[in-house]
Amino acid sequence: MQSEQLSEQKLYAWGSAECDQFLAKDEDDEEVYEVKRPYQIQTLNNLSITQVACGGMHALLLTSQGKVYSFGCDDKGMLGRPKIEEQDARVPALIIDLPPVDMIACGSSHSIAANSNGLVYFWGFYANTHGPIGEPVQKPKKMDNITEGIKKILCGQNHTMVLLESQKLLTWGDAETLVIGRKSETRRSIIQNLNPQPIKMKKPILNIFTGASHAFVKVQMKDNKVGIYGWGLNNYGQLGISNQENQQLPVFVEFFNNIDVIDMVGGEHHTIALDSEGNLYSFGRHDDGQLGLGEEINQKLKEQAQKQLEEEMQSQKLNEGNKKKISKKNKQQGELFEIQKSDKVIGYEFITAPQMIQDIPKMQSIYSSMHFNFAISQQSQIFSWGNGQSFVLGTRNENSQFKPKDITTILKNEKLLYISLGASHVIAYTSTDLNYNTQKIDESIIKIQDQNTKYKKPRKSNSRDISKESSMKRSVQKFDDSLIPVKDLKID
Amino acid sequence: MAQQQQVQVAAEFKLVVVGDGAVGKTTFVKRHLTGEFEKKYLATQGVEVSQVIFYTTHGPIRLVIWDTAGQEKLGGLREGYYIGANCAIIMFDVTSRISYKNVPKWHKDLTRICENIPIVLVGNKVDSKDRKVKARQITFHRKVNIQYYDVSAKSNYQYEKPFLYLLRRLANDTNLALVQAMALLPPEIPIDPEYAAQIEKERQNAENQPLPDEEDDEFK
Repeated sequence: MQSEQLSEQKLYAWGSAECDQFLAKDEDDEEVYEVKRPYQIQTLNNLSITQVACGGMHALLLTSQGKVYSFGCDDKGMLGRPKIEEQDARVPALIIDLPPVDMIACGSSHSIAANSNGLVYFWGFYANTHGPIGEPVQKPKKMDNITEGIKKILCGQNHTMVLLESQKLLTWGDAETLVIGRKSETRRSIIQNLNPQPIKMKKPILNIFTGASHAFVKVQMKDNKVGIYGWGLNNYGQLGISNQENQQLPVFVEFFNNIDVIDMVGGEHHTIALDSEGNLYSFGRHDDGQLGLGEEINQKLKEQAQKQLEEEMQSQKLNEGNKKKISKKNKQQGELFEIQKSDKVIGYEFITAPQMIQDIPKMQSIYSSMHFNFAISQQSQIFSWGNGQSFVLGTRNENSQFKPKDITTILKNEKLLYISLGASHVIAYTSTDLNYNTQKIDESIIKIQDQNTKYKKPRKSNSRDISKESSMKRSVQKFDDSLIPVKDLKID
Repeated sequence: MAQQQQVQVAAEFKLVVVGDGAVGKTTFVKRHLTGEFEKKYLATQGVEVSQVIFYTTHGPIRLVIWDTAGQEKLGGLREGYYIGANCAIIMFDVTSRISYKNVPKWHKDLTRICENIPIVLVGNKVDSKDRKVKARQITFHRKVNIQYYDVSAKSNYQYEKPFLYLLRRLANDTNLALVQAMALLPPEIPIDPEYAAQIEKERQNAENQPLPDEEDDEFK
């Protein structure tokens, strides 16, 4: 292994370590399973990290040499590298079966690494109600049918999204939550849904975003306008379309009609959106303050829900006679769909229409997982809010935080380079040198040698919006220009 | 529509079983092999309901057991599943850490609708040599003060324990006992008594460990 750079960068983790997410010890060298303060992960002094991606209980590190290290829970080969006796899975180690890559992403129990010139590798597994789908993949496996240039990759809990240079979106994974955004041939084609397929979207796709089981695209509309479409699980209104119906195919999110959304992230049942001015919008479940709208609003929602319930009970009697017809119609769309549509979710604390989060500074980046969030302000302050279980919020307690809380000082004035959220832990990468910028991956490293692999040139575009979009393509990792120069973001 | 049970029961309680998919909830519930076992599928709720009668020192007690029939994936169960529950089993699979990781979420969903009902946390598949969730790691039940049992549905290991605990809590009598053994399917796999003793010991040791130190000054 080549020593890449001696630096004073630090990798931290906090939250739950009880499922081997990372290795932490106390002063007496005893292992700790609940970590309330950022804990520095050792043995990485010689790595020049350019990206961190956190999965449910595992994490990946991408170095400037295009190499990928994995650590954390290794159940069913999730780490993509052979188990070696005496070697602790919680200590980062190189995944040897991967060519140089420049993109990484993690889902709940799967991982993706990609070379933007047109290679995608998968390992781990997708799961549905019945457990893992198919055999878990224990070492990186090339996805055969992707040869085009790649703009962005994303993983939700049990799905993967790949945005191609041709502005098409490929999705695959577990279709149970409808998050793959297309009609599956039959509900039994569970294995087939693990093959990358394009979603049906005629408009050019500029950017992609995802929550745990719901997803969004930013598309080029007519008249040089852009629009947001969303699909997937919507049981708490996490699609922002003012209803709770799950969507199998992309639907237009009207709220963002005239808002320039630059990023969207989501947890299990909620979504946070960031616009180009730095405003945040939130929608979906709020029982733990996921939306950052304060605790008082939940009382109002309760009153609303009670009123609605009374109305429903009144109209229920009237509808009793029509019931048979409705269920027949729904049956065509599949049982799961029918059940979900006809039933109430737990609690009343959710909002199906996007709300702007008030009284916070302008933000530059947002992060979300399960039921909690982080945001970095344009002044580089760090905020966290939502469910505080396992001490993920960095507040050293497990309380729900209903409004974004400034927790900047937990990293002791070090410069935050990357942060990524797991299901119940957080990984952060910092530098003690405030002027430090992460190294870019050398273009020559990721050049594909194989002549058979065609690299399609990105389509030239004359639209201002699209060119702006392509510089945003690593927006997930991007904080601001002073943190990561734009040139570093451009790899191809 | 459900046929009337012949047995005159002293009491009837609704038991909900929650936990991630594939942890063995249905296998667990279906090990009851009694004439009283009756199942109905409520399509609108996505649940399977079975009724099991336990012959106790307090007379026959009927548990109406709600099992999820695989609807948990769509972002948790619906309100209707929990409403009216008198007791609950939260189950995870000791060979799947992700299922343990989700236990707090199930607990929270449950307790927000059912306040103060007896709950038992159950780690299934302890017969497996591929156990991932070690005894020392199972601390959640102590934080929220609920009961925990290692079980193995396939070998019937400790099968009756969670039920007995819940029945005792429901009857408010720690001496409640079964007067007639449960009729269960025969074990599919045997559990080695030595191994059982070993996991029992590990369990005991873990229970005696102090909980993680809660003392840390809060973030200001």
